[in-house]
Amino acid sequence: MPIPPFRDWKIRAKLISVTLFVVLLPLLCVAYLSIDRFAKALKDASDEDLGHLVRSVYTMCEVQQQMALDKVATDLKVALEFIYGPGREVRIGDVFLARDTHFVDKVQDLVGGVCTIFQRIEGDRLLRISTTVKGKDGKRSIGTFIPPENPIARSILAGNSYKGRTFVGDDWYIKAYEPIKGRIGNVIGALSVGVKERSAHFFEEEIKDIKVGDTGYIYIIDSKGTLRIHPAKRGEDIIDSRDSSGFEYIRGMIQDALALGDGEVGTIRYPWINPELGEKAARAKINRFMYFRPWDWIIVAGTYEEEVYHSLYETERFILVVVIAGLALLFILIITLSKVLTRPIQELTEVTAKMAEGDFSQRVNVESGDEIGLLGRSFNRMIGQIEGHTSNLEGMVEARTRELKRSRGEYRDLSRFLNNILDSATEYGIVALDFYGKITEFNTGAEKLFGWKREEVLNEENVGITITAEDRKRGIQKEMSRRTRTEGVCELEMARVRKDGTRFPAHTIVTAIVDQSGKTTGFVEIIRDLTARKILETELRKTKEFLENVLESSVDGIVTTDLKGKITYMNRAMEQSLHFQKEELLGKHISGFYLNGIQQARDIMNLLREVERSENYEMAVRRKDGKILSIMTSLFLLRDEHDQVIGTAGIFKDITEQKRLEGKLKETQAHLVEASKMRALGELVAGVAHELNNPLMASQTILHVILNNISRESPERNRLELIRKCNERIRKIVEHLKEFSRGTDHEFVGVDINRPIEDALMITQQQLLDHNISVHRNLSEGLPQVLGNLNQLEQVFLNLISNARDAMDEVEGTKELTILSYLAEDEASGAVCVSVKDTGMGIPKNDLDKVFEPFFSTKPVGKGTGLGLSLCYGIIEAHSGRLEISSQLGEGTEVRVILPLPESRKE
Amino acid sequence: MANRILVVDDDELILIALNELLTPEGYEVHTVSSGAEALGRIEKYGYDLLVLDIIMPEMDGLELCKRIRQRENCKETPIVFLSAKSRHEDKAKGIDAGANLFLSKPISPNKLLRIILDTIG
Repeated sequence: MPIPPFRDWKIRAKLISVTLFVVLLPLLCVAYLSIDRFAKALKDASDEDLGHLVRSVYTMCEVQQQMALDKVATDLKVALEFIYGPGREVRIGDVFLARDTHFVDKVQDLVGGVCTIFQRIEGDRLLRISTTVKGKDGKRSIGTFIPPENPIARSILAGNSYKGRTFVGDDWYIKAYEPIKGRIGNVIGALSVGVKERSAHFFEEEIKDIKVGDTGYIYIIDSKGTLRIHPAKRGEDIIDSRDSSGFEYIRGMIQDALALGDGEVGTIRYPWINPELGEKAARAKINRFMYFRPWDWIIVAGTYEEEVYHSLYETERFILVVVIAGLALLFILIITLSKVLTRPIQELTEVTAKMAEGDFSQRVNVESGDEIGLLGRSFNRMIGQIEGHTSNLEGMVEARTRELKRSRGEYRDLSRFLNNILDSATEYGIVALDFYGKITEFNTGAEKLFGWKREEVLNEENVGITITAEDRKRGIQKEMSRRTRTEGVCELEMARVRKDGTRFPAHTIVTAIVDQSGKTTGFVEIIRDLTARKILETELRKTKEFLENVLESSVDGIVTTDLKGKITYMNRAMEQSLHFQKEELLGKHISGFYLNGIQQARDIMNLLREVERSENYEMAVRRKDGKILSIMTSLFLLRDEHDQVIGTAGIFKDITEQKRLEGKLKETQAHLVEASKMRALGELVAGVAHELNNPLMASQTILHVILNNISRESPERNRLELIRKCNERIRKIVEHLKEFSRGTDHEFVGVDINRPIEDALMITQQQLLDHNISVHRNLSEGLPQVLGNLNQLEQVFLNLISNARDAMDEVEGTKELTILSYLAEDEASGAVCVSVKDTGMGIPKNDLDKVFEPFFSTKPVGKGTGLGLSLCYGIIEAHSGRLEISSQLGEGTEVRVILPLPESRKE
Repeated sequence: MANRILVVDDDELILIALNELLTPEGYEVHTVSSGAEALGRIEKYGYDLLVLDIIMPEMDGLELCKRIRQRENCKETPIVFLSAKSRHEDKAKGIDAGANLFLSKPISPNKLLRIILDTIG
């Protein structure tokens, strides 16, 4: 909770805090300073205690050392006197005293230490020649020497004595050396005496008994880290010991100690956990130490700091308790005082606050006669007056408030309603703008559309951020604003910009917001994304174009109509086959070009209603120029998306040409069949004719002989004559058959086809007249010549005319024979055609394909041989032409002779 | 002495009929029904006229005609084909083979008699 500024504090709080501050600060300063000073002094005293302990041990050592040295010096003097004493000629050098231990043992008896005699040998080395020192094996340590560079040797050889520690045998000794001089004063050897250093340590037990604090003690280590004196661990090597923080404090201490000057005390502090006592937390330890160089001793006094500072802590605690108690007392006094001072003010404040809330019934309870009491009484009077005024006002305000509440409710409803509209129009971006285009409302739809968040743009951005730079440059905003103001609304399609810079097509409507005075204060813009619609439009257009292309490139005609049969669409193929332009037929009724008109259209509609679609429906239509086309159509109903029939569609295939070709093919096939049939017949007939010749000839000849032989009056002659006639008829038949089967051949020359026709007509003219037959002839002039035989062709036409005449014999009424000759244009390679047509009784359909066969006749027996047409057929076949016959029963028959032109024949 | 005529035809009826026709007219008529026989007869007798059919088994009339013409004594002998064939090319073949005349069956007896009379008297 933030602390309010001081001026906002309650008066009481101010009073208390200032007082506390003024009193408390000096008090705490004094307490702190005194504790600090006192602690420092105590601490120094404690440290010094430890230092004293160490120093006293150090002094003990010094004394001990000095005593040992003094003893050795005395011992040496004894030994020297013993050597140089009266009556004792000791010769060293000339006499080898190597194994004589008498002397040294004597010295030992006298002084109690050790004694050794050295002899100077070559190389200035000092050889031990006699000693009391014994090695571990119990033998005396002789035979070894001190090298000349040793300080002892150097000192002796220079003729001086030497004192110091040496390691002899298996122990350290404090020793004194004295040179032994020869007669001429030269050094010839040395004498040494010593006391075992350990003997100097008799005070070890004393040191062990010294206690430091409760649990501290004194111990001694050498510079290698070996414990020389320790209450429990003497001889242990503790050089690698670490404190609880991992620091090798022994090593550190040794380093410090070696650097100390004589009589200086070092200090080291380290944390320590004593696992042997089951301790978990480290406690601070303090070690004070001195270095006693002669013995390589580091004398250490160590203990826990808390033990040393115990009394210090007690004192501190006491001071603190006193300070806190003083503070508490002070606090209570201040609070009480402030309460008494501020209570009337507090009360005044509370009453004022209640009054501000409208409660005028409260009065200040004032008893004192000071300034505050006076204030309270004036205040109470003022409340009374205000109370009177207020009750009047309250009535008015109450009424006004009710009114406001009601209209605010209405406003809230309306506002909620409008907000709902704004927020639910998610597909429409609705943006409200002030007069200058600054965005004042931005609904969810707009957020979605433009990618801006409402908070980002509201009252921050101009609507220009959603308009493309080009449009802005063109001043479109001004234009839109102008149109909206003058026309009330502005509606257009334009590109808009999203927050990420992408554009999209949009539809926008801008309306003006007008205040009561009719002034435009802003605008509302409703924007709709047209992207989807644009895509759809494009796709729709593409699909439409595609379909139209397909329809237009179809080779079959395609037509659609509405339900009334009016043409609504027609493709190019349909235009082309009907020779109509689209414009001429669109909107017209489809039956317009049906051959069977409206009836056909009705039939189709009825059919479609029944079967939905019909394929291969054949019908005929009339082209613009009147030509009739055969059409094969596929028809179907068109339905809309609700499956309602909305029209019909038809695919029209023009099969006129196909039909014509089919007809022609059939005809050709018929011709071929006919031709092969006739050829087979021809061969048969030729064979028969040939075989008949011999018996016929024999018969004629024999008959001739008989007729010659019998008498002219013989009654048999008539009968034989009858046989002769029979023979003659047989001969004729055989002759015809031979002609039919091309048994004979003739020379072909260029012939004008009209000539044999004229000849035949000339011969039969009279006959035809006799039979009341009128002849119409229409022979084309200048026809190309055909190759043929004039006589044979004449024979053909004679036969045909004769047949026509016979056909009209029985007919009542008009008897007409029409003969035409013309160029047959529809023949592929060019041909001349002659048509012989009568108005006779006609030939029944069944008989029509038999008429060319030999012996087929409809005439009464005896009237015809049945060979006339077959003979014609044979002749025309021989001319590479063909005969065609068509007949309508009761109306007449037409025979056409078609002869190819010579050019084509060559091919 | 009567003129001698050889008729060669495989049809018995023809042989009989011609024999009946020609013999009363004063001709000596020999008839055979095959080429081989005909050649045998020609070997034995001299003929004033030979009447040959064309379509015969084994040796046809054309072949027979050529053989006859190869014989020295028959080079000038008139040869007449009497055949059921009647087409131009057949006639031409007959003349080529060495015949003097080509007649088509059936021929009227009077016409045949007149032709023979004109040829050999």
